[in-house]
Amino acid sequence: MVAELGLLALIFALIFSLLLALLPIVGWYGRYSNLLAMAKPMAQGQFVFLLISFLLLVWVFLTDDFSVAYVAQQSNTRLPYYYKISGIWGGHEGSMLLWLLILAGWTLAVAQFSKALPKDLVAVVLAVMGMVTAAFTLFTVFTSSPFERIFPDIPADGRDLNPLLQDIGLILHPPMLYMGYVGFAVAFAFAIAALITGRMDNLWARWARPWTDMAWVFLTLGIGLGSWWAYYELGWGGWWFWDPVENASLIPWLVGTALMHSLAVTEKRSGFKVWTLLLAIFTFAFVLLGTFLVRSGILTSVHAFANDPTRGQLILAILLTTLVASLGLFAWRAPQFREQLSFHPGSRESFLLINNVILVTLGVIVALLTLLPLLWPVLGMGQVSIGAPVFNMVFNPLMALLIFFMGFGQLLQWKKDSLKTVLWPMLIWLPISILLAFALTYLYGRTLNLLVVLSLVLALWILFSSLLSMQKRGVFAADGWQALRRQPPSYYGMLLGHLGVVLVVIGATFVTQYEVKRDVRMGPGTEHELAGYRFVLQDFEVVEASNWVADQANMQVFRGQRFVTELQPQKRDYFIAGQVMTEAGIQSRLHRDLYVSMGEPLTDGDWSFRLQVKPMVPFMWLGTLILCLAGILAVLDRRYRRGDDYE
Amino acid sequence: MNRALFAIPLLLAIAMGSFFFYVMRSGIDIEALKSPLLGKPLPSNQLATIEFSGTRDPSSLHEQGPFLLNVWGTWCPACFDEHPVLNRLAQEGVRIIGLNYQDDLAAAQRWLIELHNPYEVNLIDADGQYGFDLGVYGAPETFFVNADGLLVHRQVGEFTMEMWRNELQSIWESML
Repeated sequence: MVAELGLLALIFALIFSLLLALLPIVGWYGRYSNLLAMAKPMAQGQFVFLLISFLLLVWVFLTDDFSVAYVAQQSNTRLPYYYKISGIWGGHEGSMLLWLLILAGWTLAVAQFSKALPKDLVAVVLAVMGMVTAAFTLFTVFTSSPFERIFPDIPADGRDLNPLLQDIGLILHPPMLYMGYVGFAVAFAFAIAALITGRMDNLWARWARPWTDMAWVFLTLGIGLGSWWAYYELGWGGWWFWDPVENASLIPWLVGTALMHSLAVTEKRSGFKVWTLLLAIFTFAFVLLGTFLVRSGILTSVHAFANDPTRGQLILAILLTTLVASLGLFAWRAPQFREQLSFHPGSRESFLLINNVILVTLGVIVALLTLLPLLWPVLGMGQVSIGAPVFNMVFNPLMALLIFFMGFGQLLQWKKDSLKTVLWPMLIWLPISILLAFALTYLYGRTLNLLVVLSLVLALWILFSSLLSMQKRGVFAADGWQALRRQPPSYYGMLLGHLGVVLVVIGATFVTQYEVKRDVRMGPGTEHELAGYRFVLQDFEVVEASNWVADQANMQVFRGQRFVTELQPQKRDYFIAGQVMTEAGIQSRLHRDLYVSMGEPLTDGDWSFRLQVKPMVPFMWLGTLILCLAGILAVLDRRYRRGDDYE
Repeated sequence: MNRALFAIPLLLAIAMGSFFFYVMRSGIDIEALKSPLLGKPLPSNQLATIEFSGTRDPSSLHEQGPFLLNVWGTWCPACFDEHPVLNRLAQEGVRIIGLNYQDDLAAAQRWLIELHNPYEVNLIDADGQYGFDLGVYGAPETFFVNADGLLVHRQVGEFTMEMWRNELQSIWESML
């Protein structure tokens, strides 16, 4: 009964979203203000019913109703309640419902927080979001309802959630990722509304920007959490695999980052308008493309949901309709936004242009490399596999170039600046930073690893550029404190954001270049030394939980004579799902992680172990958090909170 | 800026869309992928085995006769579905070598105990390096290698008993 009510609520939400998609557009063309005013209540209704539907699904999971196929597939009576709930987004159907709920949540937020915007523009923005919601709700109701029953053979118990997914990282990772993905629907809706209404000025950008920044923050956090989860939960210490599904989230991030920067030009200088529109459309298109790749089974991946051709074709149809409609609209209406933006080649605009070109190139290259295994055979070129080395070879140099230009860009003023004002200090700094980087690398590793040197040069480069920028703003003058306070949050957002990128680069470079690992055989009392750490195995014990039993090794780590920590790696047997999982024992410090995983049981009660010392890993997580903080600072800027901007 | 330029994104999108539809509709999906290694020997490498029987080189396994190299992993649901078919083939005397791809060793051992072991021997490719050399797209994949050590056919994705009877068996028998 509860499941049927859930489906009913979903159908009600569908009706609301169809009305939301239709009424305001009719209202806009016919100038009926009462129809325009319908947008907000429809957005509210759509959200309320999706929330009811989602809560009913939660209820069905918590009460272990295994007559519902999705529950039987994802859950089990022995799961703790929090994994029962997170099991909802562990599979295709439930995660679609979460996707919809979040989309409706963003729509509601736009409806509630846009009092200062012109009514007709908000109504059209909401209508566009309604169209997206309607399309995906239709898809969910007809091909992916999580409320489907199994009759007559109701299983006595569920199949249990995939043990990989029984983890805090996975409770958080998909919702964050969807918040980011779906959040770009707002930027998309703003772009379409601009094309429909013909209104696109710097005020438009001022409204669209905070939404885009928020979506970007969530996407950054989602990708970071995914990487962190892979790092400690997969058990072997990898953190990025260039897996198609990872790429599917990275591509919108790259293009979305370009969009964020291009919006800055649109807001400050009323420039790059056409380009901003195109980026907003493409960011969302890449979100849909990612959804299509993940859920159609067209690319084989560890993450991919079960293969179902009908679903794939339907999502493809939605993707193409969206693209053709929005790009058609673009071809028809965007020429009116043609502009003559004049700026000096040495001003900030030039560097934002470079930023955009590099980021979009990166996005397109990652997309092409991801799709190449599909493209090649069709062109009759045989079969290819694209591995991580290819991605790294293309991605890393462009990223380094991007950071190099970033050092100039963040220093320059809008419109009229000249590179000359900063060129000399920066050019003098360059050899110094190179020398410093060489020295630091040598002190750290006693060898000269050029990739490490490069990452340090980039870090010092950005550090110096940030200091120079603060100096130009008078921070180091006598009344520096005042100057510090005068700067808007978005200024700090910019500096912090760039710092975050550099931290991630440093963490990634150091761990790739300096990590050491060793596969060893160990029994109670044996010890091994690695990178100055002594790993001493005390004993084994058996640990039990409600749905797994584990062999656990108790291992003490010493540095010289000093006790460092005790690690407890486990080999867990999830007996219901019938899967064995490696739980690594990890101790994390800012400068290094100790990472021990249990391999397989050997003779005489010994086990094989993999011992790893991984330098600077937390820099990556810290950098990601700083990126998110930077995005939030940008959103907090006072100019977005003034309600009286328009008129 | 010419007005026509604004239509370029639209044309690109339509081209991309038709491409995806073509891929999904036509037979050129991942199941029919050919391998650049067809007619060539397997890449040489020393791989450890799940059975702890020392290392083996896939490029010299043909010395004991033609075989199927089946790429599998416990993380792969389609491999689970395919496994009974492999058991059946092994009973019928087909020589099957396993390549345990990007997997957890303990999980793989357990899988073989619980689901029966149709493989003569299982090579370990924990980091996927050998799979990369082989051009593995995902699991399961099955490479048909003849008595001269040359790759005759590549089956991407799961195959059923029916597919074996209809097309694959004749390929296998032609290699004997």
